[in-house]
Amino acid sequence: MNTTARRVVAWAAMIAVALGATACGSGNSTPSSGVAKSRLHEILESKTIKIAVSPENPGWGIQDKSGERVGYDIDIAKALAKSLGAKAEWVNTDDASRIPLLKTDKADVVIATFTNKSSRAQQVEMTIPYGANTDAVVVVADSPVKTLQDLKGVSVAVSAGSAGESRLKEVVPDAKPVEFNGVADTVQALKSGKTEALVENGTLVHEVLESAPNKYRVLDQSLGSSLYVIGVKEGDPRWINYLNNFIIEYIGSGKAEKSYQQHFKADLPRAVTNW
Amino acid sequence: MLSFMPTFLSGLLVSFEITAIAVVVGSVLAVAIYLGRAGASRVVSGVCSTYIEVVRNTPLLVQLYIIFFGLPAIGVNFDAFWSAAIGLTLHNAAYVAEVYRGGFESVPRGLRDAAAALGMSPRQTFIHVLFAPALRAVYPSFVNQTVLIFLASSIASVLSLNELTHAMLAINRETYRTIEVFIVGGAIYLAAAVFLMVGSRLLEPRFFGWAKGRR
Repeated sequence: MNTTARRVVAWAAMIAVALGATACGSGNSTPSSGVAKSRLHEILESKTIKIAVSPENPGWGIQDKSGERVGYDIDIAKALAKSLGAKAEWVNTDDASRIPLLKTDKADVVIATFTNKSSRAQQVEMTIPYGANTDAVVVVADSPVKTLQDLKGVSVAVSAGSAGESRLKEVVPDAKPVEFNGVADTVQALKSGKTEALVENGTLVHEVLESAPNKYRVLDQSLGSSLYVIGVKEGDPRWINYLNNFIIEYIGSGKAEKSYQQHFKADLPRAVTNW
Repeated sequence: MLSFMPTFLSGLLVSFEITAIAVVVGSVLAVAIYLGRAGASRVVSGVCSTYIEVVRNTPLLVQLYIIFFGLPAIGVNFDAFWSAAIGLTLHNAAYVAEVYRGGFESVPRGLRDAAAALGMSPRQTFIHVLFAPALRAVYPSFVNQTVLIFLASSIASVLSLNELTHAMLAINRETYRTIEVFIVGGAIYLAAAVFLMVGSRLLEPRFFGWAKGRR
C-alpha cells in the first residue's frame, strides 16, 4: 500500500512537470531569433532544399509505381530546386501536417495544394498563387443530394485540415463532416459506403469519376475555388521574395502551362496566369 | 488548452469505451481460444494457433483497415466505432489467450492429480483448481495487456473515430499549438493508464484475497 501511494505521488509529480512545460510553451513563440541569415542563403550553401509534397494526390503529387514522383506540384518543386542549384529532398505530407512541418523546420517549403486561407496566413507566410482548383462535392449517382443545401445532415468524407473541410463547415454548417487522414481514405470512404458524399479538389474528383463511370456524380455547385500557394515559415521576407519571383518566372516561361496541360489536360486557370 | 478540455475528455471517453469492449469481450473470447488451442482436437487447436499467430504478426493498423475499408467489399459494413471495437477485441483476444496460456501452464500438474484424487469433477477441477490460480498468476500481465490495448486504441483515429488521438489532431489543426496539444494529450493518456494500473493494483486483494500470503 505504502509503495503504491508513493508511486502515485511520483506519477502525479511527473504529470505536473509535463503540464508545467506546456504552460511555459503557450503563446506563439516569436519568429527567428534575430539572426538575419535568410533561408535562401542557407539553401544556396547547403545545396539541398526540403520540399513537403503530397504522395497521394493524383495530378498534383503522387508516387507512381516505380516510386517516381509526378504531378503539377512536383514539376514546380523540381524547377524551384533547379533554380537554386539545390537537390530536392522530398518530405511526405498530408493536409493536416503542412503547417506543423513548416513550423518545426522539417520542410523549407510546402508545395502541396496549399490553399491561401486567412486562418493559415496567421500561422505561416504564403507566396503568390501558382495553381488553382475547386472544392467539389461528389455523391453516388442515385443519391437524393442534388444541391449543396441537400447536404444538411448528410455524412461527408473530408481530408482533415483541408480547405475543402473548412469550406464545407462554412457553406453547409449542418452537414456532417467525417475526417480522414488523406485523399486515399476519403475516396475509399465514399466508395465503401462509409459516407454519403465526398469533398475533394475538382481535379481529383475527375479521377474518381473516370475510375468508375456512372457510379458517382459531381454536384453542379462547388464549395468554392482555391488558389494554391507555396507555404513558408514566417519571418523571412528575403525568401518569400525569391519564391514570388520564381513563380512569376515559372508561369511567364510557359512551363506552368505545359505542366498543367500534361497533368490535367486543361488550360492553366486564368486566376494564375494573369501576371 | 483548458478550453479544449471537453473535446479531450469526450475523446477519452470513446477511447475508454472501445477499450472496455475489447477487454471484456476479448478476455472471454480468449478463454475459448486458449481452451481450443490446448484441447484435444487437432483441427480446433490448429485453427486457434493460426488465429493467434496471424493476429500477433500483423499490424493492428492493417487489421483495422481491413475491417473498416476491406469488409464492405463483401457487403459487411461497420461504422467507425464498431470497426474499432471489433478490431481491438479480436486483437486483444489473441494476446490475452497467450497470457492465459502462461497462467495455466504455471499451475503444477500435481494439483490436477490431487483434485482427481479428491473426487472433483473435471469441471470443478477446471474452475477451482486451474482457473482461479491461473487468473491470479496472469493478473499482472492481464492488467499490462489492458493498458497496452488502451494505448493502441489511438490507432483507431485513422478510421475517423473521435477518440482521444483524433481529438488531439483536430485541436492541433485548429490551434497549430502542436507541442502543447500533444503534451496535454499525452498527459491524459498517461494519467488514464496510471489510473488503470493503480486501480487494478488496489483491487487485487479484493479479487485474490483468498490467496493472501501465498504469492
